[in-house]
Amino acid sequence: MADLMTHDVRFAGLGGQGVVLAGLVLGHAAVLDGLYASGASSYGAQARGSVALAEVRLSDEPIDYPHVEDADLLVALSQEGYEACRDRLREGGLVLHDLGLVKTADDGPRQQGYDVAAVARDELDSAQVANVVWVGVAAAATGWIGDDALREAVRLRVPERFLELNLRALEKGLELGRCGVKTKDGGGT
Amino acid sequence: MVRALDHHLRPEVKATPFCPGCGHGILLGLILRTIDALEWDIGEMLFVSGIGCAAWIPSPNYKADTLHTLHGRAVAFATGAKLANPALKVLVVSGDGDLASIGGNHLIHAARRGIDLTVVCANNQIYGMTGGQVAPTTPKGSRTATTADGNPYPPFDLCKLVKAAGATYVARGSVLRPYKLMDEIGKALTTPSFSFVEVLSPCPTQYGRRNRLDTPAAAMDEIRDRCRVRVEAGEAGSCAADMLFLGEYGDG
Amino acid sequence: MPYSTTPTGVPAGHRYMSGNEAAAEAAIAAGCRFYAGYPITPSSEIMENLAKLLPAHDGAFIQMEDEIGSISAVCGASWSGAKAMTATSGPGVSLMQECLGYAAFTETPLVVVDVQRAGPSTGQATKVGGGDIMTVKYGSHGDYQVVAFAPWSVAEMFSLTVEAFNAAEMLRVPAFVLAEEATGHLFERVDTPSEVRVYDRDYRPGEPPFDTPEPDGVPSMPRFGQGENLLVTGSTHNGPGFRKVEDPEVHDRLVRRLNRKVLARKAELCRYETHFVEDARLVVVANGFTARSALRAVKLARQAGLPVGMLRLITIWPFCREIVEEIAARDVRFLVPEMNLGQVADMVRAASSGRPVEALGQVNGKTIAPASILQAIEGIL
Repeated sequence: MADLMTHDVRFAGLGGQGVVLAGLVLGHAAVLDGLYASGASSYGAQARGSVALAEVRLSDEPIDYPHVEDADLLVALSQEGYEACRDRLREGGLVLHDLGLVKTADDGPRQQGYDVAAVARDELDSAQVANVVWVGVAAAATGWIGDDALREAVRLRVPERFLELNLRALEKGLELGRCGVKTKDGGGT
Repeated sequence: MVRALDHHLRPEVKATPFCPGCGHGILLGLILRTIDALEWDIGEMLFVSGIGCAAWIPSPNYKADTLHTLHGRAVAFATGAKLANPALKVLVVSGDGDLASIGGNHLIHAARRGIDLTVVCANNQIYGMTGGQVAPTTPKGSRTATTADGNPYPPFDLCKLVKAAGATYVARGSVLRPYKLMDEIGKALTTPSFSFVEVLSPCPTQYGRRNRLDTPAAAMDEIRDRCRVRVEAGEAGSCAADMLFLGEYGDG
Repeated sequence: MPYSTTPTGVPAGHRYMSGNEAAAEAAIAAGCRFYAGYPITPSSEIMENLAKLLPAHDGAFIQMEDEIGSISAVCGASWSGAKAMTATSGPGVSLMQECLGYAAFTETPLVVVDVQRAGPSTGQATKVGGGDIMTVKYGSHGDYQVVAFAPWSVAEMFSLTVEAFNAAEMLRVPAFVLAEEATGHLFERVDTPSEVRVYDRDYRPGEPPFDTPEPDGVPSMPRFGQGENLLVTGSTHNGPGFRKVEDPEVHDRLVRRLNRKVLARKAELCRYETHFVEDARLVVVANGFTARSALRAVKLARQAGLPVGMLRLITIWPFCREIVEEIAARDVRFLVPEMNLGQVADMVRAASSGRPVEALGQVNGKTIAPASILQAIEGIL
């Protein structure tokens, strides 16, 4: 049962990919934008290498049940993350996935691929910031949260010495999400 | 492919849980190599550990009797196990927080009593498993999750502490000097009465990241740079306050 | 009345924070100026936040060598005049029991946040649990009372931490925030207030610190350094604090007053919420995060026309049997979902006047899904 105007987002990746931060930035940005948000993360025992999930509910009303059950949006940063979550998607839900790292099922739900890991590595010189690029992509592709709120959330959540890099990563993501990139199923944004 | 230590590792365990760059994996292997070098039957041994990353060295990896206990209580459990079955060769493997913070009292009493067991303390100078809080071995001034402005307290010199408490064999080694360390662990195992080996082991994920050691190699370099071989004839001249001496701590 | 409204000292407004962060900020808002603690998943963030907040508010922080050291330091600090707290999880609460009994017996105000995880023992350190209900009340030997509140949201991690300090100071008892990993690590929007109502420690010079004329009174709370020549002891003691380890009347008087002072104030202490119970044939009794799932399930069930309601217990200790008895006056059944094997269910059953009570216990390290509770509701009705 989804409340009207509630969006359920799930970031899925491997420990070390920064999925938790992505969820935090998105949720915090939503609150800065005047929305209600709730967020929960889970990861396996290993700090690096097991599936990590970050789930965020966004709503314009107070949220009764704070966990995501079936998501409206799945952002898959790794194959394992995709496999673990592809069946927990609402009908009509959207899957955003990394073109280089995730091979999706051809008969899957609505999906759009972005070459985020490559963009982070090649254009930002930092594979580590792919997570924040994804926040930008997800926000721009859905239009659920304003750009300024996202920038402010990055400022509040990222340590000083990495701030400039992460802000650039966010802008890159917003750009990608807006323009669209050739996707597996042939559609644009 | 058959690896050299496979005969000591449980086949159900496919990988260690340690972070890339953690020194505990090296120590895991060195302990087993030492046992083989001594030609000991691992079946006569008991491995006891507490709670923390280092406590996961013997448990569940070693194919031997392992006792994974409560935080800080490994030495107390080991004391009981040894006294009830003196034929067991007991090795406690645990971390600095576990052995010297919550476990400190049990550690000094076992040393005082001269209980015939060996304690290998994997010292990564931080609380790794719980997310990087300060430890009683953290260098003064270091950044941790609970000392954002730098640790205000000085650390223990664990070797001096345990020696003063009455331990028979005490040594400090590091995973960067593996052969010397195997020697020290071997001596500790074969010394009757209470023996203690402190092993410096880098934690790049918690200690390294917070203290501008951005790669595992940098974390290792930091240990190398802060350690000096102990000069048996007396303390080396003037050294930095956070210098750690490697080697055996004899009497006097 | 020694309540006052004070500025919180922490940012007010729309915040996005975790339950653990909220508890830390609430402590500062309530006037906490001492924290001693030890790392333990899933509570460590409370300690890490207060390590930064306390120095900025002229408070003192120390990470102790273990949990026993921590709760001991908290007791000492409380007697030095500070509102003092620690945070931990199951294994830590177990270690702290002797000192918690000491705090109860010496009437030392303090707050413990227990962010419950899956037990017993080391259990599943990163997974949620709800099995410490009895531990916080009965974990130490002898007869004593504590106060415990169970937050169900990040907002309540804030408000109930403040209330825990107020209860601790008002009653001179250990007060617990019975939190869970699911709320400690949950992020939610909280509209934090700029002011809170706090109970200021009630020092009435000249009055004995360990007895009152009333059999259910709370004595004056002095501190070290006021010229009171305090005699604080965990041995049985009289009003001024002299050890009276041979006198049966002194022991009886003290033990009974320690229990009465809390139980006599149940009406004030018992917080709860009811939803749709007026016409309910089945009442779900839930607390903490489980109540979030339960409310979702109850709403879904009502949409399908089922006559179900919910009682959310906010105060766990003292246990509010009175509200259960009130509801049980009608012909209802009870369903008690919890992340343990029936610790609250057993108490509901004892108060339910014979009405059927079904326990839905889940002990798999996960929160109870609304669907599980809904299924149980449908099965009963």
